[in-house]
Amino acid sequence: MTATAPMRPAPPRRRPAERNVPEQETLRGRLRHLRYRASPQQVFAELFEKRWMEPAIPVAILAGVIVFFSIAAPGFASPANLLSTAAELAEMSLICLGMAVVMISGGIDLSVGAMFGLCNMVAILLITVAGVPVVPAILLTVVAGVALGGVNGVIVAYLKARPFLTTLVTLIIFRGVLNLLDLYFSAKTASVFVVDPVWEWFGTGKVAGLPFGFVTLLVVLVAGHVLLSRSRFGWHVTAVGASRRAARHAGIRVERVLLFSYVAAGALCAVAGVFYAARLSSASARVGEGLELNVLTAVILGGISLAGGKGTVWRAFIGAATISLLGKGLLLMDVGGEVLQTVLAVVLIVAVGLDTKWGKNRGKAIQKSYVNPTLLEYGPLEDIRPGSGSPFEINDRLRDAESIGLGEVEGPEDVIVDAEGRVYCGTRQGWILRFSGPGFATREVFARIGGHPLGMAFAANGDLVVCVGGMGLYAVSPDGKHRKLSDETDRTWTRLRDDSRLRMADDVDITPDGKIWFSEATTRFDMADWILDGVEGRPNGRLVCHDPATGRTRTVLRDLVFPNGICACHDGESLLIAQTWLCRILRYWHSGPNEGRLEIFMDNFPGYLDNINRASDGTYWVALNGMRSPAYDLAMRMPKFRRRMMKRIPRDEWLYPSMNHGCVAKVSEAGEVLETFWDPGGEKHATITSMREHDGFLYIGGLENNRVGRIRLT
Amino acid sequence: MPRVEAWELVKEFLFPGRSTHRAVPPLDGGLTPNDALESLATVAGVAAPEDACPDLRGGLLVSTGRQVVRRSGPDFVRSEVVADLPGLAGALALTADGAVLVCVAGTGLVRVGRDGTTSVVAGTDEHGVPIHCPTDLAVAADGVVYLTDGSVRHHGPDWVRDLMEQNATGRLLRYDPASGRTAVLAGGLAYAAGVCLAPDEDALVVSEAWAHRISRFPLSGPGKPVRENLPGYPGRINPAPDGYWLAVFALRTQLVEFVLTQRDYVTEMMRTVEPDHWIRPALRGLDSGLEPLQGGQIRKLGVIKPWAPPRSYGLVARLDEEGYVIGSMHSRGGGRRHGVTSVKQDGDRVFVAVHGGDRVLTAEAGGTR
Repeated sequence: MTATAPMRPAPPRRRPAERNVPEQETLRGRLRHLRYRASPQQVFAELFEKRWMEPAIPVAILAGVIVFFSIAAPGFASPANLLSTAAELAEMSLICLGMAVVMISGGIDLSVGAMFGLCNMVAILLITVAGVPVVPAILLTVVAGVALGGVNGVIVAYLKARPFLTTLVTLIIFRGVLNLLDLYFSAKTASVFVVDPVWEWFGTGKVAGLPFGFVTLLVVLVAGHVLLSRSRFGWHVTAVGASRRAARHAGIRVERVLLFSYVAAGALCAVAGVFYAARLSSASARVGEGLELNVLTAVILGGISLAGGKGTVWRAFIGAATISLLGKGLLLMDVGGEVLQTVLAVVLIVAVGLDTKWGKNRGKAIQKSYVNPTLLEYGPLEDIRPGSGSPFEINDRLRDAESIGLGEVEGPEDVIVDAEGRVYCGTRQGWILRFSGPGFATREVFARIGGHPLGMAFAANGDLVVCVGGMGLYAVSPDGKHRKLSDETDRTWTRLRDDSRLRMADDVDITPDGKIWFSEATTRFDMADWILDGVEGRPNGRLVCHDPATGRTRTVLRDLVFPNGICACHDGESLLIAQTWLCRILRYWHSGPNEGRLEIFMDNFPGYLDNINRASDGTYWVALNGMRSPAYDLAMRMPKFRRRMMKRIPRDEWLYPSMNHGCVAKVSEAGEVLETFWDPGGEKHATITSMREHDGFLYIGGLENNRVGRIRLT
Repeated sequence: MPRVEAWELVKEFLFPGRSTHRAVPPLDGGLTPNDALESLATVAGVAAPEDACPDLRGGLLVSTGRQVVRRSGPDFVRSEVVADLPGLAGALALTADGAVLVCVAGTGLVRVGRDGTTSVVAGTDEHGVPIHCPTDLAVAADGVVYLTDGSVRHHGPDWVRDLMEQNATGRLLRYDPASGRTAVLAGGLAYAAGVCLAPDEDALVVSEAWAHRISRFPLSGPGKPVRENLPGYPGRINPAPDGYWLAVFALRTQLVEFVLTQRDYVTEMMRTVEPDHWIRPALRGLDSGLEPLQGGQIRKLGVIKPWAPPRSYGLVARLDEEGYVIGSMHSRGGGRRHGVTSVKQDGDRVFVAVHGGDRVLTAEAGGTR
């Protein structure tokens, strides 16, 4: 143990390195540290956690298609080709969108091609044969599309037929009607030439240089996105697709949602049909034949799950664009239609395979690469065994500790005693218990907050301020009412992962000016996995300050390795911060002439530090929740070994920091160890996470314990 | 045996179902855990007993430290030193003439006469290779002694180094008292830890601790494994009616099995860390924070889970004649009777030497079947 503060004065206002720096560090050692600090794996894991990374593979395929044909197909990248492709793409995308809505709702619509063809025919017949003016004709066509979709919807939703069979049948029926119409009217349509500015606008008009159809598509996409992701209807569609039964139990009118989704598909097909009619004026029965295969391929390629409940309009668009461009490119390369079908089939198979694998393995891959060990070095491990003469020499002074609430409390991480001598502690059930009376025999549930209440401190007004693991910073008034003080702080914008939420607020102390200082031990792991942060060993924690006067919460120090105990120093100007996995204590000046300065107060402890508290005589109490074991120290120097261990064996078998043997130590303002209290077998106090001095007694808490301990101080 | 990590992973991917004997089998069937060892009567509070062997006069010979002591009287309370030895005393056996044969680490096979005089009868084999790590012995009816030598590199408490180095230098020896010669019957054994004669004395049953297996060696001819991939490290074997008693001195854990494949870590650990604090199987828990801890071993609400990954464990297995486990007695995580080094049956009484628990236990033979 070295009192490093006076011996190694850090340059003022320069933050000490966020690691244990060996005394004689070589350049090679420093480079090794840098190498392990960089973590592409973590970037990868955090990137893949993002919702917007879901269509990564479809986007990559689309980009690949564009790049490939730009190089391979002559004229593919020319403006003329792109413009004509945009017009076709618009029709294709609208149909895909219709299919996507139905698939998100858990169904499938095979009749989209037939509806598209039929609507095309209806539009042309209305204008040429029936002589209806263009605008009403377009509206009537959309109504026809709605009606066709309605047929599908009613049969699927209300008659409870299977979507696949239903739409297969309606596909045949619609196609039959189309053939009949073709038979009777095709001669008549061929002879009429429509001259109407609106009709031409639909066919060849441009808005800002883009075909009108494409602009319409963009509008529909934005509207569809808002509708699907931000509206009640969209949520209902997704809910029904994800689990029809759950949606019904949640009170969603499943039938109506299904009907609407098929109607939407019909309407979108009709709009596409109108554009097609205006562009080509071809009233052939073959329009839209075999289109369902292309559309299905596109939608699945976009990553919209066949199982329903998953998908966005953008993914439908990406799929449609891929298929359209693929078709166009192959056409430019003079590849026959039969090859095109084969390519589409291959693309479909690959897309379905990737979709399943991606959906299934993404979470697993994130999970497997989440814990991400880095290099952590420790100073020489002091011999503290009995007879060693070390200031940490193991004794059995905790063996005779009396137990408070034995078996009635689970996981009292911190303990605190009020002015009347009543003992408070948090439990893993999310309660704060209070023990009082003779022998502390009276047990009351003081507050039920939730989470796992950890560090506690009394504010000047008598409120108990509590760090709640998993929830944030809470205050409990003397009558047991709790309220939230804060559950978020500034986000670190350089990080991919949003860390504004408080994930594991750990220990708290209050400075004389009323500000509440607390540590968030790790922003990467949940309460139950706190030791995994140690196996990882990265600077994931931060020091946060909440000012009750303004209600504002701000991050004061970020990138700390597991800041655990927080203690306002006796001088009123600084804080002590115990860093569990670095086995050291930092001192941070929050005010006074040294304001903003951070330096190492003590380092190279023989165990892992937990809470710190002020002692009555101007010194400090420090809890060690475990001892450093040489085998673990060695493993911390070998990050690759730890990574392999995590990959190869289950978590209960992993090498952990040695948490079954802890102690309480008293340290002076000068950084000397004054005395220690051990329980060598760990029978009563294995993982010691806190201690609190009150009225000549020391109260002891442990995160995994079933009691609060108490010893008399002499 | 070098293992290339990348190749191991590729194999794991290509042949997920293939057994590499790295997967530790669960304790089931005859090895289903119980707490039977915890409730057995203690007959002798002796420090770190290696072997307990009933003698012909109703006493109990126990090897402890560098001594062989004899416990006698009711509940074996009376204790007298039979012999002081030049090294740590191990397995014991009686000869027909009433002498005691003792395996002594670093020395070889030592004969203790009825008057307490000691003489080294086999210190080297016929080629002059010393027998430094005698682990177990079996005396045939004709007086021939079959002996296992665990390793030519390490002996005594250094057995763990032999495991960490993944050595296979153990031997099966045959000492003929008539000629005084010691012949090597088999070599290259992965820490031969126990030997026992088959009921009709036509074969030897030998345990290889680091290979986690039990093999059968006909008196002439090569041996062949009868039970493989045991979940623990098999130690001394002794005869039982219709089968054998097997002392399993520690259980394999996934962590140790994994660490053994990580040669860079093992080398560094052996170089810089005291053996007591290695990641290793042990005969006793030291109750020290300096020992490595595994995730499942954390004391929760004052209790260490009995099924925690065992650094030390107490296990006696009863094998049938084919070597199948038909019953067992355990002392699990949180228990104290760990590190069973020997089980011997005399009539209807069974004596269990519990090295890590510092005691010898007795049981009724019928109770464990």
